[in-house]
Amino acid sequence: MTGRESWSETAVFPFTALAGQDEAKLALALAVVCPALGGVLLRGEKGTAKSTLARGLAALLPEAGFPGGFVDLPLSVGEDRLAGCIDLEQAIAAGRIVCQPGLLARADGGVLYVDEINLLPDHITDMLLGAAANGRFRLEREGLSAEVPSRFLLVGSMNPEEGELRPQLLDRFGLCVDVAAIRDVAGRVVLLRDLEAFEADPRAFVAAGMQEREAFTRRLTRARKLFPAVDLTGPAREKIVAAAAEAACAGQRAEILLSRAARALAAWTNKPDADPADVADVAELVLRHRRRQLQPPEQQRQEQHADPEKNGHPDQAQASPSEAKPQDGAGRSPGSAPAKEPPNPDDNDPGQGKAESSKLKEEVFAVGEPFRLKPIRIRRDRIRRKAGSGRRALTTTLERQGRGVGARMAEEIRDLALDATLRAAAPHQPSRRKILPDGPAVRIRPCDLRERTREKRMGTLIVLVADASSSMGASRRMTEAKGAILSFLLDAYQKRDRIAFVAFRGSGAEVLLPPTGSPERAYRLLEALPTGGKTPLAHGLFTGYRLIETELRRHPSTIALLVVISDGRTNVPFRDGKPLAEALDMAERIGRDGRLKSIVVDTEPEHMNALGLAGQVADALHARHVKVEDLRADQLQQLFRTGRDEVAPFP
Amino acid sequence: MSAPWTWKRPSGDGKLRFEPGVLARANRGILYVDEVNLLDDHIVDALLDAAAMGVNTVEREGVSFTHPARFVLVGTMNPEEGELRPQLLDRFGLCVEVTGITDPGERVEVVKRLMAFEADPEAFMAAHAAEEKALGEKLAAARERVARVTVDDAELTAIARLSIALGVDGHRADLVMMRTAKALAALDDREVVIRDDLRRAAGLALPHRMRRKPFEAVGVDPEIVTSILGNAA
Repeated sequence: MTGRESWSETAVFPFTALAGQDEAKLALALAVVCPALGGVLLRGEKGTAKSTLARGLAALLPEAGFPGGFVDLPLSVGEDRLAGCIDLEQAIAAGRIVCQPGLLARADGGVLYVDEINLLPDHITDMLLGAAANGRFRLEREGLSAEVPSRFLLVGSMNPEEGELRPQLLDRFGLCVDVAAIRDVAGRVVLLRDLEAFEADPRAFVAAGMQEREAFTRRLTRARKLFPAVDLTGPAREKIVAAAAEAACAGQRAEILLSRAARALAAWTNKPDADPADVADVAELVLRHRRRQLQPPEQQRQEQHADPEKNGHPDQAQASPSEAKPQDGAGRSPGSAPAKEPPNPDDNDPGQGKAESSKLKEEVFAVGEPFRLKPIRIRRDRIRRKAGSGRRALTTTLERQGRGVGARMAEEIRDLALDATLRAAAPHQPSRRKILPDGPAVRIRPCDLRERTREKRMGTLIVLVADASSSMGASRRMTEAKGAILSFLLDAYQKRDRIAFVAFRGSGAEVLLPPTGSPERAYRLLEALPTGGKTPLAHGLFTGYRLIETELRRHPSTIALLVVISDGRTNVPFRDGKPLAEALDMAERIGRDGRLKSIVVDTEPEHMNALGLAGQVADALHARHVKVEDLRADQLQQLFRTGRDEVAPFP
Repeated sequence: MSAPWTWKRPSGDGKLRFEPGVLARANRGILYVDEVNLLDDHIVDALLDAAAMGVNTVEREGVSFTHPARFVLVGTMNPEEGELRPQLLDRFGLCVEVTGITDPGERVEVVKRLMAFEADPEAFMAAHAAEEKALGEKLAAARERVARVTVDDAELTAIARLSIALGVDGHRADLVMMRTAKALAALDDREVVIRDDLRRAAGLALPHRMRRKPFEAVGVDPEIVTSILGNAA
């Protein structure tokens, strides 16, 4: 049957038979050798056998003498089952309060595996973190009170495209592997053949790999025994300190983990001491997720910055006065005329010139340096918005949507939590049975009633609508605009907002990124975003607004923010009218929708002949109008500082 | 998908019983989700879990229960209303873009048939019963045959080259193409996969697995496919 995974059959695809993925296999082996490493995170694109590896490992553990079991945590897990709760049957039948152990207790001494760990709800993640940090947790609920040991090896897998992992949780993982697909043809064919053979006859396939598997578990058992005696050589210690310093990791955690991992590797390779080579071999596993978060991919950035002459046009700032003579607001933007032929004087390679003029001029600009967004403006905006939407805030409590996350006592029960109610009533059953012998099977009193609490997606959605037309190519404005967008992405990431990205150019607008929690994807798209063509502003506004509408239909409690990055110029009619008039009309209609707030980030350079069109768009939208320069928190401070210096001479 | 259990009075033994939900009922069958792109995120998560594992594990509201949940996932959506999360999109083996029929003659035929069906559903069904039965039998035979279908190394190599050339994520595309090609061969009464099966499989398995780049039409570059799989016979 198609649509079903061979590695998801009840028979588990053997760990040792999986082609490739050597680093992931090593990391998992090291974590089993030294569970104090805290766990392994498998990060990678979809379909790279991440969960196959984790589940394959689970099947090996008993043979490798690993004491604990394997707990597979479903994303829909409830607090009650994670931490444990009162045993309902015992409570009702006998009136005894007995604890039904949860998954954290069951994972004690074993492996706790979470697939798609980045999608785990926050309250579950918090409990997980607490237990992982202390090796135990305190159970306090429904008359139960216990200290429950919970030491486990945490194995998580995730696709970064679906959103990032919280830093605290990321830090819990001693080792991290970026899992990727096999890139050579022969390797992929081998994998396909293996999967085919496994699918056809799982039992025969497992039997065929038995020898390899036994060798692996023997090695694991031996390494586990050897590990406590493995020491570090002096040079290895030095190497550890140097590696941790180079990665600029805060605290001692990186050093401790490096030494554990290096010792585990030495044990795995049957050596009495870990030497610098062992440290070097494990350094990436330990450090890759500890380097500063959300650095745009190093290598790509360097490539972009390596040749600024080509990407941006640094000398345009001087050359621009002659070029910026706007004819009319709706007409051609000043940048688009010179953009037809490369404005960069260095750019007179004839071959390139020919290629460029033969088709639509298109360039990909580097992403400007991100900056810290001035926080107050947007913040205040949000608060006001919240205060103004009192009625909706009330309706959200009535919404019976979302994931049930717990239960509470309430004056008026709207959404009954049946399980919690029964648990509350359970211990009283024997006594109530005496008072009311002919009552129903379970005697429930009003004081038992519990209301379900649900996770409400009160998240913020930021929809970025950016001009990617050729007018943005002049004076490196696209680079600056990209920097502004990246800053929004970083800000959204820190505040755990969701973000969507629309770009307009040529004849229309396109949703480059549907609402997502993954700034990584957004960054990749931003970097690859080409600039060129006409400027269909109305299309951009329309597309951005439609995204917000869809989101509000699904999650009415979403706080939506439309950020338009544009100089307000437009030269493509939406229907048949004048482009600017149509764009302003569109803006006005959007402005009438009270469910969203807007900001216009004005990219028009400060100039004598500045048109101030973005200001008009902002007015129509009822939006805040900010110059792109003014977004910078640091630059604002600088402005204040120079201002004061100038004022200083006058006492 | 609310409370996963029921309390049954008639048995009177005070034992909790698990009440199967949609995922349990879909086991060994088809799970059809209309407007799959509008599903709430936590429902999608549960669906992903089950689709990946072939089992559904319930660990909430005091219940700890695992049941098999192997199903063929069929989803429909209107892309204008929002996109699907990449992880869920990838769980769909095949993807088909459904468009309205533009040929006037065919459109008339559609309306005619619809009217005939509405006028007398039973007669309409009877008129098509033989056709339906034939299709059912063909499917049953193909299902039985598909386990015997073999693929040459040359064809597998073409699959791998295609995935690499198109920059598809992970290995799922390869796997799905292999299975689809086998299924197509089985449907066509053959026990060996031929190049044409691959071409058709690529068209079904790849479009939704392509990486998006700004302002580039999403879709499979036909030149790359032709350069690796050759022209259709």
